[in-house]
Amino acid sequence: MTGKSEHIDEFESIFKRAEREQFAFAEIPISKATIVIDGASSSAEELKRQVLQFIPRFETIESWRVFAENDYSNVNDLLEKIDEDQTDLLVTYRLLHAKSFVPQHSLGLYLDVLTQKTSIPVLVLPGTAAKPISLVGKNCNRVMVVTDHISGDNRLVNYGVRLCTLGGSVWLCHTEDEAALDRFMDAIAKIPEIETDSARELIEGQLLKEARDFIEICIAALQEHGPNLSFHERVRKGHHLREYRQLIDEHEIDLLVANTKDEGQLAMHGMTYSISVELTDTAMLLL
Amino acid sequence: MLVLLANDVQEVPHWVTYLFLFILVGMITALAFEEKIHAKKSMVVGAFAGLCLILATMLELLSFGDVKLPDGHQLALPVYIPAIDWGVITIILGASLFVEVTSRSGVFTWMAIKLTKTSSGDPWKLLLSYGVLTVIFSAVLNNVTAMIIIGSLTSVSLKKLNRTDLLLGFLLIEGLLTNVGGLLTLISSVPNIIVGNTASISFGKFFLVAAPYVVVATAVTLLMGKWKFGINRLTTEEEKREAATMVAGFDENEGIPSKKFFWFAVGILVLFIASLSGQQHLPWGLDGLGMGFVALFFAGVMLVTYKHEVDKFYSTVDWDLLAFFAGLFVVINVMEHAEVLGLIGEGIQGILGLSENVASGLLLVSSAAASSVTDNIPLAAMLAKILKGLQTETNSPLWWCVIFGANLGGNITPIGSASTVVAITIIRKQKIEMSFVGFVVAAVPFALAQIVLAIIYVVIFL
Repeated sequence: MTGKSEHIDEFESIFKRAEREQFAFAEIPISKATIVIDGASSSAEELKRQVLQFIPRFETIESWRVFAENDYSNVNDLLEKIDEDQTDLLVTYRLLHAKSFVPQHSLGLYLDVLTQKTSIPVLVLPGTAAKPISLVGKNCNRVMVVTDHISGDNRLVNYGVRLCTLGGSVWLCHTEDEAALDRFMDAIAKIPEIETDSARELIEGQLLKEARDFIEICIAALQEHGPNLSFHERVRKGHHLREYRQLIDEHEIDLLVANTKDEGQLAMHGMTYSISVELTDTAMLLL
Repeated sequence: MLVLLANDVQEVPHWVTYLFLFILVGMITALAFEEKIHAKKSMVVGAFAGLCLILATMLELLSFGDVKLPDGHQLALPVYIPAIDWGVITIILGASLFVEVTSRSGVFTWMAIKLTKTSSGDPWKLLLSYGVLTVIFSAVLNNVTAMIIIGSLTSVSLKKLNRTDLLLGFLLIEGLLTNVGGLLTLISSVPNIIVGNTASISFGKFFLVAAPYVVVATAVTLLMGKWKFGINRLTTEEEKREAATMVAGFDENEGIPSKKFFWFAVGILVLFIASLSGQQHLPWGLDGLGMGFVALFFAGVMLVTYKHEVDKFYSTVDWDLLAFFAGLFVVINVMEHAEVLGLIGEGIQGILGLSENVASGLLLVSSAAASSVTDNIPLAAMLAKILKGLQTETNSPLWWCVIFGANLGGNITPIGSASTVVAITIIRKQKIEMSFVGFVVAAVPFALAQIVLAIIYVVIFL
C-alpha cells in the first residue's frame, strides 16, 4: 500500500494547496478608549489631543478614561480597574513606573501584563513613559502590519486598516524566519530519503506563497470594500527585526501593528516582543 | 492474437487435471492472502506460472514449435509468450500512461474543486457531486485513481467545512461507487477489458448496455447513503452562507501548471474517449490495430509534452499489475491445456442448464461472491475463457453476469477490490476506526441492493 498511500498524500497536498484563507473586511468599532500613564492626570488631556491628531480616525471614540499615577497601585489593581468598564483600546507607553531601569531592554511589567492578560488592543506610543516621543505634527499615514504568520489573520489586517489615516498606505508584511528555516533544512540535509535542494526550494516557495496568496486576497477585498487607502505587499525570508527596521526606515512607517498572543504560549509572541523592545521610536498597536 | 501451433487436442489423465486444479486453488488462495504473505500479486502469480510451465512441460501438456502468423509466416517464440493476451496488456499500459500524464494537466483536480464550489458546501449537494464524479472518474480513469482523487478531496473539504463527522459516510459511499462507475465503460475496470475483449463487445455497445444500470445503481447508492449516514441539506441561511464562504476559498486553478496544457489535455481526453468509442469503425483498416493501440497512441501523444522526462511516467506504471496479468494469462493457458477450465466449465454448464433467468442470476451471484474474497481478475479471465469455450454468443447476458458480478462483488468486503482497499486506507488515515467486520456490516446493504438491481436488469433488459 506504500504506493497508494503516497498517491493519497500527493492528492491531499494538491487539494490543501488549493485551499485559500479567506479575508473579510470588517470595520473595527472603537468607541471607548483608556489612557494609562504613570504621570499626573493633567498630562492625559494633552496626550489625548496628540493621539487624536496622530490617528484622526479615532474621532469615533465617544468616551475616554484615564488611569494616571495615583489611580492604581499595582498591575493587578490596574487590571481590575480596566475590567470595571468596557474599553475597546488601551493607550499607554513602554516602561510605566520603571524610570530607574536603564538601559531598559524590556517593555516593562505593566505593558507586558496588559498585552497578555487582556484581549484589548494596546496602542503603545513611541518612546518610554520616562522619555516619551512627541506625536505633535505626526500623522498615521503609513501603517505596517507585521507577522510571521499572516495567512488567515483577518483581525490583524482589519486593525491595521482601521487606524490608517484615509488616503494613507498600509503595508501587509510577512517575514519567514530564516534562522528557523535553516534549522529545519539542516535536519532535512541529514535525512537521505529527502532530496535536500528540492526540499529547500519547495518548502521556502510554499511558505512564501501562502503569505502572498493571502495578502493578494486581502488587497483585492480591501480595494473593493475597504476605505480609501493604498495597499502594499512585502513577503520575504530573513531576519524579522532587520527586515522590519529596514522597511520602517525605507517607508517612514508611522505605526506598526502586530500580534502579541500565540496559541499555547503565555509569554508575548517572540517576534513581537523583540520588535516592540527594539523599535521604541515607532508607535505600535499590539493585539 | 497469435495462434499456438500446439496440438491442444490430447488426452489428459484425470489426476493431472486435478493436480492443476489444486494448483489453481492454491494460487487463488495465495492471492486472497496477498497482504498476509507479504508478496506482491506479480510474485504470487509469477511463481505459480513458473510452476505450471515446468509441470506442464514435464507432463507433456504443451506442444513446442513455431507460431504461425495469419499471413502464413512462422515465428519462433517461447511457448509462454503467445499465451499472454497482449490486447489486454496494451490497453492497461496505454490507458494508465495516458491517465498519468493527463492528470498532470490538473484537469481532474480542476473538475473536483469546481464541483466542490458548485455545491456551496451543502453536505447533500456535496455527496451528490462527489458521487457522480466518482462514477465518472472510475469510468474514465481507473477505480483506484478515482478513489484517491475524490477521497483526498473529501477529507480536505469536509475538514474545511468542520464536518468530519460525515467523513466515514462519504468515503464509504465513494468507495462503493467506484465499483459501480467501474462498470460504465469497457476500459473502466480490468474485468471489463478481459470479458469485453473475449466476448468482442465494442466500447460503444458496452457503454450503452452498462449506462442505464450505472445511473440507477448510483442514484440508489446515494439515497441509501443519505439515509444511513444522515447526510442532509443545510437548513438555515446562516449555515448556508458560512459553508459557501468556506468552500469559496478553494482555488480550482491551483493545480493547473499551464492553461495551454490544460486545454490540450481536455481536447486529447475527448478525442481519446471518442476514438475508443469509434475504434471498431476506424477507416483504412485501422480498427485492426485494436484498442490497445489506441490507448498507446494517445499515451504517446500526451507524453510528447513531457518528452524530456518520460522516464518519470514510465516509473508510475503499475508494473506489478502488468506482470500479474502476464503470469495470470500463462497460468490460465496451462489450465486450459490441463483441461481444468473444461472441468470448471462442466460445472458451470450445470448452472447454465437451468432456466436462463435462474442461470443468469446464479452466475452473477456466484461471481460476486467469489470476487468479494479474492481477486476478481483471475475470476473474470477464467470465466471469460470458459464462456468462450462454451461458444457463448456476444449478445448473451451471461457475459454481463460475469462483468456485473466481478465488479460489484468488490463492494461486499474491504478486500474485494483495490478501490475499497484505498477507501479503507483513507478512512484509517483520518483516524477513523473501521474493522473488516465493520466494513462488511456497513457495506453489505449497499452491495446487496446493487447486486439485486443488477440481477433484475440482466434478467429483464438483457
